[in-house]
Amino acid sequence: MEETNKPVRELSRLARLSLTPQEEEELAGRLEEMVGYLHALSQVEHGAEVEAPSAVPFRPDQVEPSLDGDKLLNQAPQVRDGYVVTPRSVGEGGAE
Amino acid sequence: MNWEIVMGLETHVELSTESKIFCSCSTAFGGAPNSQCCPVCMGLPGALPVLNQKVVEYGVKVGLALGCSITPVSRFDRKNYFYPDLPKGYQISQLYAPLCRNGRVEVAGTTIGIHEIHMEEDAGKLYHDPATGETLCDFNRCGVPLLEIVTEPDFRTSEQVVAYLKKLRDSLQYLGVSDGKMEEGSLRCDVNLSVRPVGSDTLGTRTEMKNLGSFQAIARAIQFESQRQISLLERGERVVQETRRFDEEKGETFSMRSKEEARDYRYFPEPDLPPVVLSREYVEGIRENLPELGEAKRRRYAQQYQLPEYDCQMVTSHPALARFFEELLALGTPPKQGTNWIMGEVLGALSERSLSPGQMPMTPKTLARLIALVGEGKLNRNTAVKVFEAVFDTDGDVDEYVAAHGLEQVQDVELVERIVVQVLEENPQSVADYRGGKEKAFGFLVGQTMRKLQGKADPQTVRRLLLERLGQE
Repeated sequence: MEETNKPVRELSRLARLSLTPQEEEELAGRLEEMVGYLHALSQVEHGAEVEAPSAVPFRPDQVEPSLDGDKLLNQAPQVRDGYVVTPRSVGEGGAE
Repeated sequence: MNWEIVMGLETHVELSTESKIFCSCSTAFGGAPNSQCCPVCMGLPGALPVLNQKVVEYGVKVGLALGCSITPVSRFDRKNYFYPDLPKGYQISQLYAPLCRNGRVEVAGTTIGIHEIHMEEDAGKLYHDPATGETLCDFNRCGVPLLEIVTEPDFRTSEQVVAYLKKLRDSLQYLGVSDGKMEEGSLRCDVNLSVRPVGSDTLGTRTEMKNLGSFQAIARAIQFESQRQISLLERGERVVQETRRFDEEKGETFSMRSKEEARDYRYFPEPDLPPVVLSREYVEGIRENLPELGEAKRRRYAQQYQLPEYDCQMVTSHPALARFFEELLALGTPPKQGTNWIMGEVLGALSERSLSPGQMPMTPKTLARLIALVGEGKLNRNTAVKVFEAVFDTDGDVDEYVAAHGLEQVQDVELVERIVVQVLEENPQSVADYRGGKEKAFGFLVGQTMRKLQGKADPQTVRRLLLERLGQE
């Protein structure tokens, strides 16, 4: 099980979650199960007809109160003057 | 060797909806940092996006205005990249089935193909603090709706690029879907550019230029980058496919990243959003209600009202001005007088106050009344301009102001005539000078007469009466 637990440990470190060995074990099992679901896709015949999607209602363009600022910022490891602080990032982001 | 420049544009348009694309947070600009965020736009576990109907409507409007076909079933995809401005770790965009495709726009005598238009969400804003070396994140802009408009590589000159962007901004404003302000980032443009020998039909290696904040910067960046590529090729070197940033101060582009370092965005279909299914009736309903755009108005004004091209251009330069002009006409203002007042006094007053046409304090009714008073001979043009200045900010009552300040033009020709005689008698030297051929003396006599009449006479009448008298003896 040691090898299958490795991705779980990696992910939990990135997500800043501390997992007990039992939780690690359980999540590894679930992850494997999910990968199994994907195998179902390989059973689908190539070019198979897909059911036409039905229209789904959209959301009206109305503003609702946002999350309370403190509640949001409490989740961040470091905050300054209302901003979330991260280590200096190199390169650029932005919608591309 | 002669070279040809080949360019295509990717333009991001910030839509002027009230709420964000996938959640109900406000899109208002300038809020306190991180005050307009929720679990959806912050990508907290378990939060699900729901599409804002206005974004689809605006997207379809722009697509139709740019001659696109609207995709009956379009879909969203995830574009994955890891950067602090994107708390979800991916941007919801459209890659495989964008909202609009295959449009065309006529610009400066050439046809520009629109490859596609897709909907997507904006990322947050980062501020780098050089003092501490830290990065500060404000996520208010996360999830603000964008349209990305991608053209075919149909541009050959920077003039065509700028003309296209101006036309696009004009259309966005007339459609009422975006303020189209480049300086505030609601219109952001990337230019893909390559060069090839004239006559060749294979495309050269292209570079992508980002950070182009004004029409002028775009023209300069194109000039610099095309020259850079041509010099490389003429020296027998090659152009590297890369993303370049334009430095406005230096007027140069410099490399940001090459293709080798290009990101792999690992696109995949967005599982949290259903496909966007649009009926023919929905699309046709929007098509039928498209407003008349700037270019169509310009053509119509020129034809219907016989106005000079310049006038048509000026009064349609902003939808609020065109609306103002059309309301003036509906109130009986002659078209040419309407454009004269708008181009002169109205635009002057707005610019003095740093107001946009959308913030005009004066109503068309007030200006129409003022113009009518001039037309009826009750105010002369100079006095009318003073009244305009006095009532512009408060949209005050023109008739009341004229009455309260006794500005009504002297209608009594006999009175004007008496004053003219008096002025001629009092200024024999000027009369002699005029008769001796000094044109300037006539202006002095007009001025003296107007002064005695407290500026309230019709200057044309004064001139006519003076000339009559001076010609008699």
